[in-house]
Amino acid sequence: MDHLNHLGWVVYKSYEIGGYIFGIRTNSELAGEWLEATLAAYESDEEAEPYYSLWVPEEQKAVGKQYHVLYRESDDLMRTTDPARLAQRLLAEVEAFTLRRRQDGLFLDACVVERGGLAALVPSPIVPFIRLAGRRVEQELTLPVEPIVGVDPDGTLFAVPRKLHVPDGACEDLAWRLGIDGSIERSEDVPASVDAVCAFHYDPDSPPMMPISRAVAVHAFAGMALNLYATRGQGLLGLAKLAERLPCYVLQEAKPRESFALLTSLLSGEAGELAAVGSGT
Amino acid sequence: MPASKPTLNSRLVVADIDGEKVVYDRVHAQLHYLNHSASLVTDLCDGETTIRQMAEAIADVYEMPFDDVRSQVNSVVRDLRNVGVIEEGPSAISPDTADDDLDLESLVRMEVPRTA
Repeated sequence: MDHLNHLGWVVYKSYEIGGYIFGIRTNSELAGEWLEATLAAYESDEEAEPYYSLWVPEEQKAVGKQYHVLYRESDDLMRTTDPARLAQRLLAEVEAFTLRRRQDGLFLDACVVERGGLAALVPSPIVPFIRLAGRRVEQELTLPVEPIVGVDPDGTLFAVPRKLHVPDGACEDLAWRLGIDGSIERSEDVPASVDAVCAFHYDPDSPPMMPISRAVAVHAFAGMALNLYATRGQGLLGLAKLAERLPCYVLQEAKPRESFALLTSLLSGEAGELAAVGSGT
Repeated sequence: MPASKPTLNSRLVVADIDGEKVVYDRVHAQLHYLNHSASLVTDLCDGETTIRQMAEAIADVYEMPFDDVRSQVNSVVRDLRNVGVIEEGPSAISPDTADDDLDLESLVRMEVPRTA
């Protein structure tokens, strides 16, 4: 994370969650106080390298948007003007450390991207990647805040039930401490079902997007499961049900702008033509 | 030497999807994707059927030369065995004494992918 060192980090904290010890740093004393109040139950005496970095603007400007940024190591996970959303993402990230042992669903490092009433299940790392295509991305696509989605044995998607011991209203509390209004509508994050499944595998020698069989898609997403072992493999069957009758694709593009365009076309009804080619049904 | 009669490993969780399979090995925490061919062979790995019988049944249904099919089945069985998807069946016996009542052909027909 060396190339983030110039961002003026002033608070460093260490935490232990789900057997993992990791550090969080921030450039803001106020955000540091929020961390202390929110994750007090998980503070560790063991010093850990920063894994997450929470950057907030030092001063509120009268004009122009000011982004709050969450990094994981050197990856820019999220930029938002709403600190409450940033807090939600950070809490979802650290909650993920507990998911490998949980059995209340199959938890995937995947999320749902929506556009005009159509939804696709995609690998979560795609979201910060396509955000690099610019501000247009969030104007055209509804991107989730949380990076993990649950699948129940019937193939229904659900938001990860929060089991971390954090104070009620913790997300809004960060916004309040920073003097900005924030609002969270957590229930909106995950629709129960999707219209397509889109895996990602960079392959410069293949078409940038192509249909794949449902089994290939299930195999790809099962590989993103955090707790397949904890479910003794049974989570695989729920994932297979989720994919039933859905068109499945693989995105094989390495450029954010092109990937964004392909995902947008997938969620614009153009997927229908691809589906006819790809699903074999 | 008794003929090999492979059987699906009992520690697997198997998801059948449109004639293909995704299997999860609970002991080794490994995932495997089985395409149509591997899935078809796996369906015939019941611990009672020899590899030769599998090849005969598939060759008959697909109307393909037996020798070609046998070579492919051997290859698939070897691969599946190497990754632990199948193991040797409990009652390996000579191919000449195999159960004549086993309707392999109809079993294969059931498992032939129904999509073009």
